[in-house]
Amino acid sequence: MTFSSLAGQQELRRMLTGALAADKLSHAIVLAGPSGSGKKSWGKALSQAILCANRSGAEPCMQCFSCHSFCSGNHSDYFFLEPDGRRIKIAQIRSIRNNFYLSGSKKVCLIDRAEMMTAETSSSLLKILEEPPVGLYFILLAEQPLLLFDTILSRCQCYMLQPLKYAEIIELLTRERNMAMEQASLLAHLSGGLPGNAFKLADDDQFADRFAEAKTMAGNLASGRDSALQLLSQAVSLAEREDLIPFLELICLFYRDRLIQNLCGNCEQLINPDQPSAWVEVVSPTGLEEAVLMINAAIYEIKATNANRRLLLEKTLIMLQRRLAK
Amino acid sequence: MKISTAVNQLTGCLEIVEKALPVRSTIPVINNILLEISQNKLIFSSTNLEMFIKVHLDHESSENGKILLPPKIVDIMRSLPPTEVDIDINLDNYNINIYCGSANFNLYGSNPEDYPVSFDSQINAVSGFNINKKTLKKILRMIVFAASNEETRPAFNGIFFSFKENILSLTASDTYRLAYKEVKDDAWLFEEDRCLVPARSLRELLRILDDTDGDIKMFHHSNLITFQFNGIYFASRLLEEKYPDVSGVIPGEYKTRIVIDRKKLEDIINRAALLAEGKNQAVNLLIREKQFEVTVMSPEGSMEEKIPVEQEGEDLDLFVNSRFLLDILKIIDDQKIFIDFHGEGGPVIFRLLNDNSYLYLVLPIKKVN
Repeated sequence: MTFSSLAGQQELRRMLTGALAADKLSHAIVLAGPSGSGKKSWGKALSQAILCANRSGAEPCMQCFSCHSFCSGNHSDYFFLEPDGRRIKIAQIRSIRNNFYLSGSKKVCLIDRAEMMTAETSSSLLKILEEPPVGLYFILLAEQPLLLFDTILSRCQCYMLQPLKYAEIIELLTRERNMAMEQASLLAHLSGGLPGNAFKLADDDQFADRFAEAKTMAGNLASGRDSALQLLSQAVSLAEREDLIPFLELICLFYRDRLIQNLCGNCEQLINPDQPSAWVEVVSPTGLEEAVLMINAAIYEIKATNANRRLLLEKTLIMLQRRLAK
Repeated sequence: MKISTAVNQLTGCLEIVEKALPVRSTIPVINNILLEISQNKLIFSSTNLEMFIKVHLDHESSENGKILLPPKIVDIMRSLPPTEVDIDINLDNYNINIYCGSANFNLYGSNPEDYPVSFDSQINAVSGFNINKKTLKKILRMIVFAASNEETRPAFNGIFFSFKENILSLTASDTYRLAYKEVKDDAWLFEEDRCLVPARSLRELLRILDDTDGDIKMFHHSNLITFQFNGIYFASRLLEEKYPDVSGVIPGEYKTRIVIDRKKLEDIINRAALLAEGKNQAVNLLIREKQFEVTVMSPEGSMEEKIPVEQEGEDLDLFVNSRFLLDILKIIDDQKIFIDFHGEGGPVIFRLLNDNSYLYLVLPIKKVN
């Protein structure tokens, strides 16, 4: 994996490649960013570059034995830790730590979701970081770096991954997944600038169905044609959906777009420029605004609380239809 | 590609190679055994990245090639009756067929391409030196046990090898005790050098070393130490840590010296250890008027035992860890040994009557009143 195959992150790219080229890389690095922001890809690219035997500048050569065995997952000086179950356990770090003190080649230890280390694991890691063996590099990936021990964090160089520009994600999707421009643009907006999310959506076969369903439902609610009884039965089937949250987000997206359209006409802020049916004019901006707020509140409650999904959805659907019809 | 050989021979090789197989590694390839086939021999290799083992087996083959054998093959060989075995290896799809008597196994091997390189090809170009196999086994046994297993100070997980002129000296310590041995051979002429070898590797080496006569060829490279004997190559990577200078902890003149029967002392300490408790397993040693007395007091009860010894120097009363004493007493087969004391706070040093190049030093436990 090379740096040039990764999109965006100009700042991070400049700092990492600069440090690599000047051979001034810190022995402990934290890459922080939300889930899907590309931490693992960057971590791997960095690991491979550190380990590559014929590296000139910052990019790994992709030719040598080191690069070859790295790509097949068999590099003997590359150690990868990730949570075993929920946490990263002390036994995991014990099983590899002997190798850290052997002489010779450079070694890299990549720890995914490092904030999931138990207190014992963290202490053991700290012990190694305090007197780091020559040639050993730690790369910690964390969604919430502040959950790491202060004592660990203070010994690491911390880099933040930024969300990508929509254009960069569109480029990534068209290049890596051969996706049509329009679809890529839609996914780019839905991904929130996180390449991991964009790829997840691109690889989700049910996305097209979900999208169509959400569109129908958004239209139906706005036109107010369903009886209360129908809404209740919809709530029941909705509550059982596994992809409930992405589904609600899609419905929210339609109302958001229509709201923007109502307020400022067709502008660049539209996520899905695909034009809807006649119901656009019927609904007032206030109604749309309330709908967006209501759906977001419902999503929050589902994510953050242990609310009864069916009751919550029944309420939300009925209120939505009422507000939109006003 | 066909291999036909005796089951015993193959099992023997595989059981040696198995010693370096990692228990569970995140790196898939090294969980396998590498088999290299050339015209007149088979070479089996394994590694856990810390040590590397290669075993040669003479065998005429028509083809050359490499394959990774799944670790299960060791158990399979062990389970087979002691007759001839035929192994059919397809080097294109890495299929392995094993025929032995009425049993027939079909195993899936894998591609050896990414197997880590263990030995430099120039290994034979470096000048090594020979050491008698029995001697090496004996001195390793006398040293390796004293190294630490704790992870807090990585340097003490290693055995310190020092080469100087015609002397090889080995040191192991866990900061509470220390074992030191010098070996001299007029055939050697070393440039001054040193290295730190992981004790874990040497423990495995001890398991492989048999009691037959013969020499071992040793090499020391910048980051590898290798032992070569009976068609086996054993290599270990070295520790990068700095080993502290231990010469300062070995005191010169003793204040008390006793000569004691080793077997009797071992038996006494074994009995005393039954009541010794806590992390330190402390026993009290008392030396006075040519009597050696061991006492233990514990909440469960107490014991004491007394034997006469040859004593030189002052009387003495101190506590030591009984486990540390047993460790040394059970590996020495001399009939009598010296024990030197250096006052009540100074170290206890075990020496051999006929060999002044060995010493084993134990620090006493501080008395808490």
